[in-house]
Amino acid sequence: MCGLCGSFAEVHWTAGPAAATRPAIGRSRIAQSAALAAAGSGVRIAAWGQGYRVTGPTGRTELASDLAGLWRAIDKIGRAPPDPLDPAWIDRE
Amino acid sequence: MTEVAGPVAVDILTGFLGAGKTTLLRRLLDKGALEGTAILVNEFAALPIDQRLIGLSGGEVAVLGDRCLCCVVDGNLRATLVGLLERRASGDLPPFTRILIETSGLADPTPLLATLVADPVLKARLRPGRVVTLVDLCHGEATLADSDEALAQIIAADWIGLTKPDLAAPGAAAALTTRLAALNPLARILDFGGTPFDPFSRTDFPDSAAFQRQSHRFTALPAARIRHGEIVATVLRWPRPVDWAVFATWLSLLAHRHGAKLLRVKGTLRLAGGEDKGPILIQSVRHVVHMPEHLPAGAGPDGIELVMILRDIDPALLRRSFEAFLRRAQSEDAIDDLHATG
Repeated sequence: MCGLCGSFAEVHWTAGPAAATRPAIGRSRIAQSAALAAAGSGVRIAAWGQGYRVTGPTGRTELASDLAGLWRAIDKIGRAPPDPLDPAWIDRE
Repeated sequence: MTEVAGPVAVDILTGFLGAGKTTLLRRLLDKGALEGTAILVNEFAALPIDQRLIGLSGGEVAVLGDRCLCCVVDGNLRATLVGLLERRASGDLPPFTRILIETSGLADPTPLLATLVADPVLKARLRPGRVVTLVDLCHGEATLADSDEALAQIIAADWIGLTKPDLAAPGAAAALTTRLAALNPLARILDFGGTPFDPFSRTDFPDSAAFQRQSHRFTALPAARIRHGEIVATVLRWPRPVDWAVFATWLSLLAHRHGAKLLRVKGTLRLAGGEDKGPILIQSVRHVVHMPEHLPAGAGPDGIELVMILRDIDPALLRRSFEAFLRRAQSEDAIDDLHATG
């Protein structure tokens, strides 16, 4: 079982230290921030229930319970998988 | 019921075959340093284990004279840990306050850490403590060259103990220390051959204070020199407190795309809006990420200081990515604020 991408862990590490006190605010901020990181893949990301909803360029949607699931969903339905070590990703304005 | 409050720390003693793990345990037992400790000995490799230390074989738990518990793990570590906790809760065992696992010399400790962090039953009741890795000064260099497991033991270490100095060639300690510090600049490297020393003692070396010292020591090292083959260590810094969402987004995307190349991450960050509280401690060993936790107020730098040990990643590119994303997120926030106030 992987600690990074393990969805059977009730709380993923990316939920952070405030997860217990402000979960909804935390998810909304993470959705905004992930949308910034995924810019260029043509997806829209929103906080949804206890997790996130990803809408692809064709209108297809996927649900994810945490950030690790969110990246998998973007890889699946987005145009180009975001790579933080890609110079084009780094230099994007 | 005898339930001790809070999760029990699980320390790990590892090191290659013949590095002196059992000798160190015996020395700590003789000093009485393991009182209140449940000791598990992983016997996968059929190590020549001291019977007095183990007390009983066959997976039974024994209470030794100095009130430490010992048992032999037959391979199912999870079941053994659950059994220990249940027997403690029922009053069948004394209320031990920590667990010390001696791994097989051939073991990579990462799966063990993964069990502690990810298992739904164990993670609420146990927390990863220290990883102490012993390295034999006579054979350490050769073992590192030959064995992926030995390398994994070094990368996972919080403390590295050098053993058998009396048998080593002159200068061996200095040469090996340089090499080990390059592989894992997060670890404190100590000579265990001389004065008896307890690497698991919280009294002498509290975890967070130890981390601060490591962090300051690392600050003094130029990143370019910390290089060994394809393994490189670097430090990421950001001068101001940050939004957790921004940091978690960047690190989780990096881990998603390049997780196999992130051998170790450890550092602190201060949250925007939480400047009055302590910083958050972040740490991972390969794919195993510990839950972030608050350190005491006052510890650590004002923004982010994160040490990363990487395989086949250009540290300059990594730093550029980190800084670019934080800047981008910051400018997005500034635009949001303008819209909100305008």
